[in-house]
Amino acid sequence: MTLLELKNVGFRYPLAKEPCLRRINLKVEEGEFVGITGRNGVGKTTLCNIIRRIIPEFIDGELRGEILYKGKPLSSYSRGELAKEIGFVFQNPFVQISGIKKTVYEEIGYSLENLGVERSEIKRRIDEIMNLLKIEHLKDKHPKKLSGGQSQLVALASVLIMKPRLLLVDEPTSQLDPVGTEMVFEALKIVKGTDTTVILVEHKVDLISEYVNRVVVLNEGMVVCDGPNNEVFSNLEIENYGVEVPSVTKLAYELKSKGYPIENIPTNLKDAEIEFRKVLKI
Amino acid sequence: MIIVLVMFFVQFLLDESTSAVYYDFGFFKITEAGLAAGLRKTKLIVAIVSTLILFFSTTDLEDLMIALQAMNVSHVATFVMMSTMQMIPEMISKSKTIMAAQQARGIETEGNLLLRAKAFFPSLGPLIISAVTEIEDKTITLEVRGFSTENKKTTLKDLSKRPMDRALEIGALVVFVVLLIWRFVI
Repeated sequence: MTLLELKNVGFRYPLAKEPCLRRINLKVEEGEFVGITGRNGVGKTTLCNIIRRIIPEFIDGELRGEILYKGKPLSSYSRGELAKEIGFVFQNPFVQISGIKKTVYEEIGYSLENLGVERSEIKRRIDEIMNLLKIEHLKDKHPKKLSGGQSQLVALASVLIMKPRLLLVDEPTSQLDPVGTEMVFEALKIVKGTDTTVILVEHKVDLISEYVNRVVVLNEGMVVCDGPNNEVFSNLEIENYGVEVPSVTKLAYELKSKGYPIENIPTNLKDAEIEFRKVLKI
Repeated sequence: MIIVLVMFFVQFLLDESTSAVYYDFGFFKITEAGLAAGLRKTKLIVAIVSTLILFFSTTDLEDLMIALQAMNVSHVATFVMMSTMQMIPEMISKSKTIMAAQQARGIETEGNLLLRAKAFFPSLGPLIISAVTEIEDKTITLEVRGFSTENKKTTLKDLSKRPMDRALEIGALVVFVVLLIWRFVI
């Protein structure tokens, strides 16, 4: 079933001469794990804001086109319904902490307090989500005293606990160190195993190529590539759009140009290992 | 403390009565009426401030928030209260960071009062701007966490009253009424 559909969506920020997004056409099916990438300033975050209706509710601008969620216009959903349906994890891990709770445990529960869920049910779901994301050890810590990676995991947990059908994750690791980045991606891998549909915006291609099934590349406010991970990332054309191919793919092309008989260009580590072992006979 | 002292002295120096003079310095006198006026005015402040200090040092803010919410105060109001209280230490630490950054750029931040003021006031700009942008981000992140849904909010923490709480509540009321009667009737 199609969960989200964008038809000719365009957006221009007030006072900006050029539109940020020109014509976005995108369809996301239920259960997909989609990666959106593109060079800086191409409108990836704007797109997330549009999907979550932060544009135009909180940020002004000229929005065109049609956005359908479960076949109904996005504007027909109330704020409360959208909060339950579409989760959003932001770039900055620290602003996502509510700032009014003293422990991580309560912080995660805060989302459900807002939704008016019964106390016993909140407790059950906090335990469930902490167990799922393996963050039980943070339970009694103060939310403001966490590292960037831990903060981001808590932010992810406090969004996932609301059981959204669609989860938007906007460059979750852009402000994190390698350890934090690894932690967040491990958690996203766990989310991938649930039935949540995920749209992940990220420009670290080596990482998204490991996790997503489908890749969408944006350039000049439009979708320029859209397809399975191994198809998009093995296509050197994406470098014209400011997106590099993953390191393993680069290496494979390099080896191929040196005369090694590489048949399938790999885009992730697992495929690369198989292919390179075959070719190098090790 | 300083305010209390200043108020006390002003009150007590302004007195111009000539009876019951304890000591005469010539340009001012210590009089009984002056002392009484000073004490009368400052005792009000001491009473109010000490009550507030006692209240906030013995009450968990979160409990206060839950109690207010149970009394049908809007969750927006209680949130604003809570987050403002939490923001103060954050603003202080942010201000320290900005000052350190200024120092690193070679701006004198230590020395006499004038020098420190010169360094301090320009740092207010970035402090306020960063606080405002953070509020914008926070509004959006709160929205994502269902802050604006219109259902009744629940709380994770249980704040039901024990018999002892009830007894204290009633006891305090009784004392209050007795004091009122004592003050105004008798």
